[in-house]
Amino acid sequence: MERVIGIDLGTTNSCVAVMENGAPTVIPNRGGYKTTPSMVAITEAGKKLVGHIAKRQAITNAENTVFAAKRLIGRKFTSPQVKNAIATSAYRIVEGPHADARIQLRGKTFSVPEISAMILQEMRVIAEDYLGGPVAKAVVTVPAYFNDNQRQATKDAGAIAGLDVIRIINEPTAAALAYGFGKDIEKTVAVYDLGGGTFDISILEIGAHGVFRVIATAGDTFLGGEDFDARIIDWLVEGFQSEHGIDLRQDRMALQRLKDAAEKAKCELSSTRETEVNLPFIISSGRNEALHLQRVISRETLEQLCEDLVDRTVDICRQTLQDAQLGKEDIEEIVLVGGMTRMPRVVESVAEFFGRDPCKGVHPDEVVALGAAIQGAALLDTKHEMVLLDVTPHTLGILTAGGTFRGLIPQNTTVPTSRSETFTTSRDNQTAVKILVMQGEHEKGEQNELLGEFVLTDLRKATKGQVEIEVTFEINADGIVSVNAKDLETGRQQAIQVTATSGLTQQELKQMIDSSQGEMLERRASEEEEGTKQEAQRLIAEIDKLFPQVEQIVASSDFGRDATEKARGILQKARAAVSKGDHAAIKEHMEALGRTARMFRGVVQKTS
Amino acid sequence: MAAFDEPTTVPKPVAGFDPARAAIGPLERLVLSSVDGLASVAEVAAASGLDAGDVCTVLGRLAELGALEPATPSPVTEPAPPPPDPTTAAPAAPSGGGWDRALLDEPGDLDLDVRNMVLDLFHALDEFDHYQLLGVARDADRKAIKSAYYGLAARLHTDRYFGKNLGSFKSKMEAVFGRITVAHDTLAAKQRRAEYDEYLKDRDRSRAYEKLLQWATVDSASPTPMPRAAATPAQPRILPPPPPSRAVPPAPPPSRAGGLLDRALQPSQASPRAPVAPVPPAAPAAPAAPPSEPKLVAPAGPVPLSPEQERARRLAAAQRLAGNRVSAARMVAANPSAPRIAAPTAEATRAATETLKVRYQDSVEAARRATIKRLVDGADEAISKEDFVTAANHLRVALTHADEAELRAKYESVNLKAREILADTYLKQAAYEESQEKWREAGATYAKAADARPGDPNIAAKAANAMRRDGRDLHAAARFGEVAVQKNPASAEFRVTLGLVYFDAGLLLRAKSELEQAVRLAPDDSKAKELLVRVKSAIG
Repeated sequence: MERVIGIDLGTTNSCVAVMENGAPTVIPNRGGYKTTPSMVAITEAGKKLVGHIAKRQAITNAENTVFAAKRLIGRKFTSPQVKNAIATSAYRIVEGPHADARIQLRGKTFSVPEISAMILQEMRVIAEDYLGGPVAKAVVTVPAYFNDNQRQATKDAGAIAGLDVIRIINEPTAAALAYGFGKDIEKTVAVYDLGGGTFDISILEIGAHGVFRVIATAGDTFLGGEDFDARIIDWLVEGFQSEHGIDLRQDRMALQRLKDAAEKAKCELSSTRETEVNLPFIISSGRNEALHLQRVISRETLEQLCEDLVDRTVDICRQTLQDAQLGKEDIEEIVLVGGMTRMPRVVESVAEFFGRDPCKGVHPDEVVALGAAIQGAALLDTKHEMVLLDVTPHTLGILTAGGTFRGLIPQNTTVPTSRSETFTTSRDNQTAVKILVMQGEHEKGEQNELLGEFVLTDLRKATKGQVEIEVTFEINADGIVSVNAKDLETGRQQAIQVTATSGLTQQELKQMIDSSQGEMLERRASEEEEGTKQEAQRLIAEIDKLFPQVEQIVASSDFGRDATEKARGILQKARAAVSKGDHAAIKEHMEALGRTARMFRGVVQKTS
Repeated sequence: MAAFDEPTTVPKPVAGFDPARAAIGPLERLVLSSVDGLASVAEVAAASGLDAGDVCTVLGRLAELGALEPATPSPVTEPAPPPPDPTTAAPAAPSGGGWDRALLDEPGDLDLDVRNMVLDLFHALDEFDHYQLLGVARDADRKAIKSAYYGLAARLHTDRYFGKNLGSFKSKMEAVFGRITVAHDTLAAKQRRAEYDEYLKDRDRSRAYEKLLQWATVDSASPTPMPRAAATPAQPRILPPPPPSRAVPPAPPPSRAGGLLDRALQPSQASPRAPVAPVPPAAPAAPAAPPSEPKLVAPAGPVPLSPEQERARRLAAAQRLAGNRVSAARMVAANPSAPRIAAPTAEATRAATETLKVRYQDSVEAARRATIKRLVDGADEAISKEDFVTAANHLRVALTHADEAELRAKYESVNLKAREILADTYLKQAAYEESQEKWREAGATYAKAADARPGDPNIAAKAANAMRRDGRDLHAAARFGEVAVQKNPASAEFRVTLGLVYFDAGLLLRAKSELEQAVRLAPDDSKAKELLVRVKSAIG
């Protein structure tokens, strides 16, 4: 049975799980933590750091430490979300060759999928260490509200990390799977997922035969814990400015320290009524005088600062219920997901809105990865009787004359599905028509996400409105969109499979996969070399320590003197190899070192 | 009994089987009486007025008793899903569709039963309504609908076979899944279900009326007053057309109302058959003794029966069903055409026989009157609900019992109203189909509407247009287009429609002529001009 892992690629933290003996299990990382920070850094020495170590050095290396890359994945550089991220990030975001956003670290430009790939690779390594074997397949989760470009970019990130992403599923859906798996219940469930960077609400029906049917899903890709942190940072910065007249935002290192402190304070306020933010030597006054930031923040203050954020999530819940034509009373269970749902005010608001207390049985940080692992196992192994009926999160359609967007497959349509509609030409003697495939809910085409385009040519010349073109959209279970356009009069057809653009060309992607694979091999190799080197050093030290004793014991015999001479030569060569870092040479001397050490140990033991 | 499940199987009687010696009840007798070696299971069911399922069971039992040859599957390959009865909508379990069986052997990882299920459903997509697709009754509650959908989804979603080789089944499964999802989404939402039910009701009503029209036509054309129960052309997919040697007029399906006796008395329920062979009368001391040779005689085609024969047959049927043994003497007495055998009985016995005969005739007549009354009452009730189709249906059946002037006049007037309503229903139905871009269905429904209201060129033009869009029967499209133009030669629009049909059919010269006329009639119509230019350039 092939192994498949489930990865929750979060904005702030990531988590990996696997199905073991029929039960989903979260895999802890080397440090014993069940979640790993979604952070990547490049050190001065050019070394890549991922996870906890990247987070630990973030303060001193803010400009080269990437956090919340998920907010940028699959987005255009010109999008307001990227603009927003540029304003709040300590690292540099630049425009890529395909109008995508890229990240500059120590002079090298990385695509966002490459950064995400580093995190995914870390998760893969965690799983491989735990399972003791290679892992090639994964189910990766994304916010329900991700569009196809963002999903494709996430898939690409998986490919760069050497993972075959067999399915992308929505985070709230994954949470519902984890909640309902193996429970044999029939319920309508709302999943409220307020994570580090995104907010999602999904309504699912858990039915007989292990069917999980998504009824509706909605959300906001720029509303999450980071926004709560930003409110605290603003509050701290403004207070500091009015006191000292200095804008802390200008100092990247100060900003990073503020960020950490804000997140810490926010978490603490989930369990305590008030906490102190204490940042000594935050900045220099300019008169060579160090300034400190010290301020008490209460839970009430935090709630006031973030009231509108919580209200926004409730508004989205209301809208989603309305779209699904459901009443609050139809929701039989509420599952809370994401670290932000630890905040008491969030729980209160949700309970108040739905009129019932949310379910407490699931771990908000782990449930998504568990669900991904369940879906992976259900896909690869038919003995799990479970099937997920997912929906399209966005309306799919085409751009028509005048820049108007015409939806063909409405959002929240269960996939697989297909729809067709007939369009006509908009100009006289128009012989070709460009079909722009878009995704989104806006009436104006430009507000939506462009997924792909193709041209239907050789239309007969006619006055406008005469030529009829039938456009058929099809989405299969893998979420792949195909579009077929047909001239109804001539029967001429043209079809494309819409591959969402992640901001990477196939060639770029291939290069990245290759180089990442190379790096992975290097990493494995260097880990091995490092091990050998350490072993060699240990042996050299041991021999060194025993040398005087042994020399003394065997000094009486010629044979002994000869042996110690030989040992001295071996030691010298091995030391030279270690200091040069010549791996081949170290390996060559390992056997001799081992033999010498054994011999020395034997001599000492015999005489003592 | 499994083999009798196939509606096209023909049960064959075993020669020399003696029903009297076997432990068979009236039900078995009734079914056996309809088995003549030529009627299929479905026809036997129709003739006996019993539920098809019951008939299968009874036939199975008869086969066990040796009355019938063991069933062999019918050689006729019939592209039929099981008969969907639109009025009761029994959950449909499709089987043995008209698809290519070779697909079952296509290389791939799917189990055979899943393949069967996918193919059955896939090939029934056009045929089945949402309820049949999900296999639920029309009055199924939301929970039952959901459960049915989930059951199907759990088996038919391609994710259940992720990474498996599904071959040509993948796209079929996706198509089926899409449709069952639409069915579920429609039926699980109150408003949408109500709309859909309304549409189905319209469709059922027009279908019922189609049948009615068919019988009416048959009625006037056929010399026999009792059409045999058989497939109606209106439902060619449901029952196979009878073999040519037994070409019989279609008949209404048996009424579900009434007891067995009542049904047996209705002339349309039994097969025409040569009279039972005369047998020597049994001694009156042993009235329960059966005819010694109850051999079934195969009919030689649709022979009209003389009134006497008819009466005798009815009487016999009534007796059989009442569980009594028919005295051969009485049967013979009631059948003057049969050779009389001198009865060595006393005058008293003869008087008693006469009395009995009169009593039977009275009861037959009473039952007939009761039936007519019931039908007329039913018709009146339907009229009060403005359900003229049902009313006409009832009255037509009543007419088969007694062709009285008053009844006929009533029938004609109701029939007229029903026709009117039907045309409206068709138009509504066709508009719905058009909106769903179901061109094939829309074309067929417009065609029916045009038949029901032959004077309306608009309907004919719509039929022509829908058929053109469907593209499957351009001949029919041209016929309707021509009708529209003929009825209203001054309409440029109709001529453009017809021109387009001709164009699609490759009849360029005709297309040109129509379009020229259209341009002449409406010089401002850019579409017509446009098309004309195109046609001319196509001609070269």
